[in-house]
Amino acid sequence: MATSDLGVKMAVNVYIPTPYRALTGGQARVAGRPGTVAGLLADLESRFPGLRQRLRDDTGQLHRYINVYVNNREIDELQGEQTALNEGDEVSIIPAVAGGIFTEEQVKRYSRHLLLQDVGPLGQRKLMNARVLLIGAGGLGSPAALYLAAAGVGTIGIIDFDVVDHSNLQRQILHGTDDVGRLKVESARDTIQNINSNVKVEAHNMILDSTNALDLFKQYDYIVNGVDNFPARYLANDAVVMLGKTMIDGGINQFEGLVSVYAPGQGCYRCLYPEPPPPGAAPSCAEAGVLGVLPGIVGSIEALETMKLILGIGEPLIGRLLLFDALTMEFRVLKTRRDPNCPVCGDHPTITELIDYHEYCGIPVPPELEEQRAADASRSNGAVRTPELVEAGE
Amino acid sequence: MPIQLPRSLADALVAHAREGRPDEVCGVAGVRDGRVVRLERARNAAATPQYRFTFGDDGYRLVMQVEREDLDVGIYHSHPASPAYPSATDRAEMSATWPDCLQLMVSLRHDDTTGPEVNAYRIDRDGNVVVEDLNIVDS
Repeated sequence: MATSDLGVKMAVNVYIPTPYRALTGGQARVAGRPGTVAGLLADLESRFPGLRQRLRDDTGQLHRYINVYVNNREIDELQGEQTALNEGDEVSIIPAVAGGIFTEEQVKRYSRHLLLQDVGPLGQRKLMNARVLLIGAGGLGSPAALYLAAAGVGTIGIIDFDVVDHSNLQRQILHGTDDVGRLKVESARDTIQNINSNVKVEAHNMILDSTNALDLFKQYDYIVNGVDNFPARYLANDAVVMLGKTMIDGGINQFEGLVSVYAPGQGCYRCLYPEPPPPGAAPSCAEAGVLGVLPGIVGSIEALETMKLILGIGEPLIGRLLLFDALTMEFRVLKTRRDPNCPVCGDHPTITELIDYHEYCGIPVPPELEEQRAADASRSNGAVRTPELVEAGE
Repeated sequence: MPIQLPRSLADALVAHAREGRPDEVCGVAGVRDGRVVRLERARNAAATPQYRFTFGDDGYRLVMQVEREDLDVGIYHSHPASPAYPSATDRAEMSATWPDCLQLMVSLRHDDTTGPEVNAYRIDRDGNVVVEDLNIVDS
């Protein structure tokens, strides 16, 4: 029969596992009082400072990963912490031995991916290790963020400077009525966390411009474009080319949308449209209107292309432009090619620094141009111009 | 000091991993003065053993048995298709439960071409991986 430092009669032999021995002065076995497991643990916790935090959570419950055995039987099979202890009993405290390439929760959450030959555990890990930046938490960024988060993309960066407005709610499904007035990046973060708390959200509450684009894009594997104006579209395109990144581009206009992927050396937005439209002729940054659901389709396709790129499967829309007409419900694919004379990705680029096309946004437009602009706006709201210089593919 | 792993035990480790494929397998190592002297197979009690390993009662009893023999406890598991390196989940879970414990890992990722890979490492309380030199010795 053992006797403690305090001279109290002791009769229960407690095994302390290696990870906790620093707390017991290196002792592998200590003596404890008979009674109940709860009483024994309380006594040990008071005798060995630090042990309580290792055994219990903030609410005082034993950590899920702590196993307590009495005479080689786990106390969950007995009476839990109320299990009686008699003289001569052996108590062992053993932390769980467990691991894996996923947590239990992740195995269930991603089970439909794990079943797919082309995704499987290794593909899911690729998704979990990926870093994707969404430019804009609006109509396109919303479905893209939701689906990428649900699919398990590990880190999602979101840049947006805007605040949620009632007029956003018709299509920007990251945000709800209660979010009106909040920063979009914060609303987006909460929504994403609610869908999948495994995802790390990096919120960048700022305007994308020539001073921050390169530093920001550098931190991510893929850039998903969800901008609604020409200045940001050209800026994002140029920054992506300069960094040798791949951008998943999307745009919407009233009843039409487009998606393409610009990969290094395989063309960019300026190969299609070398310069922004001239000031005045450029459509207003205010919206010409857009049909609800349409951004959901286009943004979801952007998310899907991003997944394919991360997984290295299928044929992403590189060198192809997908056009979608919501009214006729037709998808068309046009072939595109890199323009050797492109001012930014061509053989002899003339644009080697980022340009802020501020003048295209928020300036008063002369009245005589209003009519012209209204006509343009009926075709385009600044996010999309329908290409006329590309031939239809087969 | 490199960890010493007798060849017969290394072979047993690989054999266990191959028998268990496509599931992960796990077990206990008894270690004395940096030398692995015993390996004991434990049942993988995980609900989805293809992606996880979890000890059951038999594994915990082996831990207690190894400790009773005054050996240091080591833990091993296999990765049927991923690298011989602890995953993020391995790091998160083992850093909370068995920090600084010697772990052996066998990966069958390239078993059909270049063969199995075995690594030794410890995971500290912050989840950092400290890779140990591993010598497979003939006796």
